[in-house]
Formats: sequence, structure tokens, C-alpha cells
Amino acid sequence: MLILTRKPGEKIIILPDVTITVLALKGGQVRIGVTAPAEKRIYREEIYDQILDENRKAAEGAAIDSSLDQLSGSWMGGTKETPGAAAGDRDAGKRDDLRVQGKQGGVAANPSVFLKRKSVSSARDVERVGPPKKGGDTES
Amino acid sequence: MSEELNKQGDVLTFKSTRFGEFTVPVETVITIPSGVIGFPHTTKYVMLDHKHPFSWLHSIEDPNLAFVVVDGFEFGQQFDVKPPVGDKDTELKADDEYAILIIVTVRSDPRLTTANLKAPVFVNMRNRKGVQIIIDDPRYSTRFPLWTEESASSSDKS
Repeated sequence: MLILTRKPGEKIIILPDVTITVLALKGGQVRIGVTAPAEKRIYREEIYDQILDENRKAAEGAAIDSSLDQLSGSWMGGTKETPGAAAGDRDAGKRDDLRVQGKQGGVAANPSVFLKRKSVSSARDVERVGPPKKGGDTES
Repeated sequence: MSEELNKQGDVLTFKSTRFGEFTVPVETVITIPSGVIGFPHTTKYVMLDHKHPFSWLHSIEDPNLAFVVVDGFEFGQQFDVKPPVGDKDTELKADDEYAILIIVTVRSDPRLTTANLKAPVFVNMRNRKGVQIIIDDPRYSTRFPLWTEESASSSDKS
């Protein structure tokens, strides 16, 4: 690891196009500004780790066909033919060609278990990770 | 990482520990240049049908690697995420069509199965390139439950 000591206001440049600015020190926290091209994906480490962990669990769990069939059997949401459920629905028909037609695995659905599609619009359904922050710059 | 690929003209063959061997048209391959987060070395996938609304995002390089996914548009208007226009992995332009794949964490108890709304995979339909983006927004959880505790008798309410 390259270790540099900075005072508030000082910067670090990572070529070709990233600049890190130490903005302020306050209450045991460092406020850091990152200037970089918009396509650079910049995340707090704990958020990145959270996603990494969840992806790994998802990859492991994707062997449990019986659960999927129970969920699928009672999915009440839109089908491919339903007009776009979301404002952002773009060409639902086109999305179908992401999938390969034909061979698939799976076992018969278990009809005794029911599932409702959950709408994100129902506030109680959405787990809140933390209160929204307010501020000028995009800040977390 | 050994690639179990055998290209013959327009098709390729890959192995799946879950489903056996597949032969698919080459143009169905989805490339995720940076990989799914945590899996940077596997960049090529194919989507396979499962029962609606689930599909498999199946690696064609690792026979054991597959993700259950749901179309992001199933979550309605409140799952309002902006596509990463300008992203280099997907070369996504403002007028490109795109798909959103949400990775599902399946558990042996179906009631605990969840969808990761915080890290959707955007796929540029023009070039079939994808990228997983983290949405740092408190509205969206890595574990959005797909199950709701409602009795069978109320199943016809929406």
C-alpha cells in the first residue's frame, strides 16, 4: 500500500484522471472528495463488501430448485405479455431475447404455497438500510 | 479457469453442473467484462429460462456458477434506477435499450428468498454487455423479500 500523509485541502492524483481531495477532518472522520470520470465505479468498502457477500450467497443458493418452483408457482406479478409495469419499462418484448429458448431444468411447482409479488411502492416492504442523507454534493 | 467451450460455427457448447450440457447460439452470450462483483474471472454468461419470473444467468466458463435472476422491471415503478449511461464496460448510450437483471438469493425456505435491489446488473441490448452497479440508495436493499405472509384465502386480492 502506498501511504501518504495529507492535510485538509491537499490532494492525491492517480493518473490519468482521478484526484482525491482531503476536504475536512472532524469528529474522528475524514471527509474525502473524489474527482473521477463518471464511469468510474466508486464505492465505500463496506457497501462493496456487502454486495460481494450477497453475490456469493446467491451463487451458492442457486442450487435450490424446490424453493424457486414454490415461489414461481404463485408469482402474481406481470407476465411477459403484461404492458410495462414500470415507467422505465423499455421494450419488454426485446428483453425476452436475452434468454435462450428451449432447454431448462426444474421440477413441478408446489401449488400449496402462495406468493404475492411485492411492490416496492409499499413502504413497509422495503427494508431501510439507513436514513436518507441531506447535503449539497452527492454524499454518503 | 478452464473454458469448456467448443465453438462450431454459430453455436457453442458449455457444461452445467445443474443441467448438463448446453449448446447455444453464440449470439446469446452476455459478456460482463468486470464480472459479477466477487467473480471477476468469469465474464461470459448465457440466460436460461426457468419458471416465470425466474431465469438463470449461467456462466459458460464455470460449470458450477449460475445466478437466479429476475427482470428488474418486475418490481414496478418504485424501483427507479437510472441506467449507467457512459459506462465503459457496457458502452451504454442514452438511446440504447437495456435490461435489468436482479440477482436472487435463494434459500431452502422459499419464504427467505430475497432479491438484491442494491446491485442490479444492467445489460446493454445493443451489444449484450453487462455491468453490475451498486446503487447506494437507502430505499433499495440487498435483501428485498420476495415472499409475503398472506393466507391462501386472500390470494385473489392484489
